[in-house]
Amino acid sequence: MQKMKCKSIHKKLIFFIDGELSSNKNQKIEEHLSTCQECSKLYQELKSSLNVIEKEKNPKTNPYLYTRIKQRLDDINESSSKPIFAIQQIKLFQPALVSFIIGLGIFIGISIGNFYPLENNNIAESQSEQYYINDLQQEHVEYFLLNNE
Amino acid sequence: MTDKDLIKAIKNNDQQAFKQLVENNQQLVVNICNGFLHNIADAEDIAQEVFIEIFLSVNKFREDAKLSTWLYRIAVNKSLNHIRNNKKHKILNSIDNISGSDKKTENDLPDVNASQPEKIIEDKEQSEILNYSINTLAKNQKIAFTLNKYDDLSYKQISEIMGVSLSSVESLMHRAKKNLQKKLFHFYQKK
Ligand SMILES: [Zn+2]
Repeated sequence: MQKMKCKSIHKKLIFFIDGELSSNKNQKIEEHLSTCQECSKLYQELKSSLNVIEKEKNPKTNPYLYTRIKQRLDDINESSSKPIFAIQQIKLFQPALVSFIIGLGIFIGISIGNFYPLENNNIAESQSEQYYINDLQQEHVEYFLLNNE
Repeated sequence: MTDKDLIKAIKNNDQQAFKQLVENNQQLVVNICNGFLHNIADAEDIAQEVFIEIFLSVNKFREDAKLSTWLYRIAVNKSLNHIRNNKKHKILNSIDNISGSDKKTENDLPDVNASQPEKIIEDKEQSEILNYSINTLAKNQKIAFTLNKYDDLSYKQISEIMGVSLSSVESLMHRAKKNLQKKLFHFYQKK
């Protein structure tokens, strides 16, 4: 019976320390602690552990924090001035680069189309097969185009 | 100057206003970081990063938002990131140790210049046990517990910083305390 009571006391100790229990429960725990050595010891230990937080709280801060922040910001400004310029240069050439890539794509597309005219039929067939396999899929536009032929 | 005036001035590149903002809030931010990092030098380092981020992203700050919530949120994120990166660092160090390198890190140095060595070691062990127990709580429990216990923030403030409801914070705190107690009891038994 006593053991049972101790276990239920153990569970409540941290809330007892934080003053979160009703005055009725508080009183019961206080009474128990005054008679039970085991619980009383555990209570002291827990209280002492949690007290570490109070000791560690509110450390004195360095009065020169701003000076150091300012220094780091100045460093960032200095080191970033070159990369920003480099990025701007890339941006300047970007339109030319994009149109070159598009042009290349079109050229490759036309070349493949010319060299492999039969390939188109194969693609159309495999797509119509796929339609029967996947009932749930939306109907392919290409499928209707094939049926109308 | 109110926080709103300061933010407005900083948006206009007013360095003096930024200095004012740092001085008004540095204690607060260092506290938050130290609550997670338990090391003043690290906490000050991360606090500097917090203010640098504030300065660099001030234009994204909404006029109607609270400065303190923004500061806290950045401080929490940066502190947790620092812990995560440090873990990787520690794993690398231990791999170094296994592979026979005898480089000593600062953490390995014993506290020899203490006047009461036994007392200091006891305190140190106690705070290590507590920090370890808090650190191994689930992330959200750890954040809520740390903000409430180390920084005395109300559940309402914590709910704003974490972007969760007040009742969620209550539940996080309850679970954090229950789990922390369990972890600490476990350590006491081992002694
Ligand atoms: Zn008992």
